[in-house]
Amino acid sequence: MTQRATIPMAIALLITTLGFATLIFVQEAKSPPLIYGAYYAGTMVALYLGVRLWLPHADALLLAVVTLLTGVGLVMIYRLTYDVSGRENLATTQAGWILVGTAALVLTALLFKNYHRLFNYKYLLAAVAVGLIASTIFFGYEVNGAQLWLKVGPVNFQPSEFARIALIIFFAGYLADTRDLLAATSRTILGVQVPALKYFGPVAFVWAASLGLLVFEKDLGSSLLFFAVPLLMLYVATGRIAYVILGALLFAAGSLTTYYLFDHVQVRVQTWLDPWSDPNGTGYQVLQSLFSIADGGITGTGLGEGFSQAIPEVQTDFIFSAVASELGLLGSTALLLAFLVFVYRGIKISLLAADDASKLLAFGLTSMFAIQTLIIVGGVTKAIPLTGITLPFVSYGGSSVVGNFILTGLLLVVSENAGRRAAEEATPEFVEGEAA
Amino acid sequence: MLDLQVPLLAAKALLLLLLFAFIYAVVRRGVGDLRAVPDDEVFVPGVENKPPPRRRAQERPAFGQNGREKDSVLVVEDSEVLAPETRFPVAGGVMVIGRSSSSDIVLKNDDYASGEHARLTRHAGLMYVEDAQSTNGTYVNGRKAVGATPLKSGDRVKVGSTTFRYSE
Repeated sequence: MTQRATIPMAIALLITTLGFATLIFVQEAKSPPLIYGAYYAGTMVALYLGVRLWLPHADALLLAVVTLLTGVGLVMIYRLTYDVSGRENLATTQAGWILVGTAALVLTALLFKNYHRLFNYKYLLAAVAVGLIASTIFFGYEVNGAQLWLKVGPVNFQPSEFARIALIIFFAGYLADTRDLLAATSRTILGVQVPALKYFGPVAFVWAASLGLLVFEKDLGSSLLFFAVPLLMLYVATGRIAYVILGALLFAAGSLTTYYLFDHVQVRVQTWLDPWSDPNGTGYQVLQSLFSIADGGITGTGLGEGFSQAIPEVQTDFIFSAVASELGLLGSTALLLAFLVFVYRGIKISLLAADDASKLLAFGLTSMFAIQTLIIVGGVTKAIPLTGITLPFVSYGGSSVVGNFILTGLLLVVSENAGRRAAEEATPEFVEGEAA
Repeated sequence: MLDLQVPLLAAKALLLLLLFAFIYAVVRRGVGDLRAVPDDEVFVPGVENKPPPRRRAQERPAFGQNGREKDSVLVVEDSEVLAPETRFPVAGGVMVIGRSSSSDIVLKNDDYASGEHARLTRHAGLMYVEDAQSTNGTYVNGRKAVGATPLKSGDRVKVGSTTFRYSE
């Protein structure tokens, strides 16, 4: 498990540097003060070295992937906003958020190096998660039709980004305790072993919670995440397909009902099926995204040459379209592969972890990361209906960046524990060799 | 502007190249990881808990009668039907533990074991134990095994009245 990732780190920083250099030449963009780039590189390298020192058995490759994703994100955000009035400083702000995220990661690693303590407070965490989500219903304000922002002092943030992580910790702890009960079958229906009805409580709970999100906050993306991730964790914990079948049925029922009850859901589906029905209104965003992606072709237009600035909100939800437009099929494939590597490492951490709770925690965090990527990339490419959600680490957005850094921090401490255990086990066997 | 075209094209190509170089660098680590699953380790009995020397695992020489397969064993710790410290080498392929005489490890007359109680399978360098729909279940470290459960050296596997210690 012990991993050095110096070369990938160096390449990731080189890509960021090259990206900014290209932009400065191609668009004669005003160069951002060089010192910011140095700050960014310094922060990531310091983070990498700190993790190598403090968590020597942790999976440092995760950090290399994070560096690449945040780097590409910064380049794209700068390219998309530096000449848009009122948004000139978004890239700098994002760099600030990356700094905050780094601090959050370090804090997570310092405070929860023994992360098992977290599981003792799982019910408290669940309450915090529900509280965070509920707070936006009462105190939140709407941005683009979804009421999921909270203003605390000068800072606006999206509580659901943090509620997700709290909820995953809760589910990991809860399922590790109760998986035997939940896996116990009482009868078989159509060849599927079905647990007793009373054990479907957790499914009902997440279903209600995600439906609540959908109804009260109009947050389709988060509601999908809140439903899918606990369901996957439940399946992994119990190995019972019945939960997945029931979950899919509930999902279908919930989707149909909300489709007929709520206009904004209908609009999303309509836009997905036929964006041309209103090309200058509801379909505009998706159509511009498709044009941009198509314009990119195989190798892309080159940084700064595309017209993806035409997409509304391109720096957050639609940043993938901009990447596909300017770096082409090749560049966006590489980006998706980087996401895949992150997910692969996460699943591997989950396999190597010692106990059920850690396994479920690593799996839950990883699957949330994966599903989030899937939902937004699928949305901007019109493979599935668009749901506003950020592309982890790449999109502009403070809460999202900080939340994902915390997620990475938790994965790192789980991998540290697993790696240390593996190292302790591996060494005695060597002695046996000497004896022989 | 025309004289800028060539360097820009080069920069674009270089950027894509670097992106894939990054992917190659991280994936190569991953593949190395898969290979690093130690399948050339050989169990040598009796020397289990010595203090570890500070040496890199790669420098360990391959030795033993079988360089490819890992010699894993199930050692009886506590049983009503088997003698303690009986060793069952676990080879590749599928091994069945159960009361029926066709099992690879026979738990004769164990009232708590099913005919075919548990299966051991080696996959990708890891040993998995799986409950074969037994009546009383299979336990790994005191927890009921659900689905295929990977075993680590030192794990306790309980089948019927018998507790095995797994070691690699």
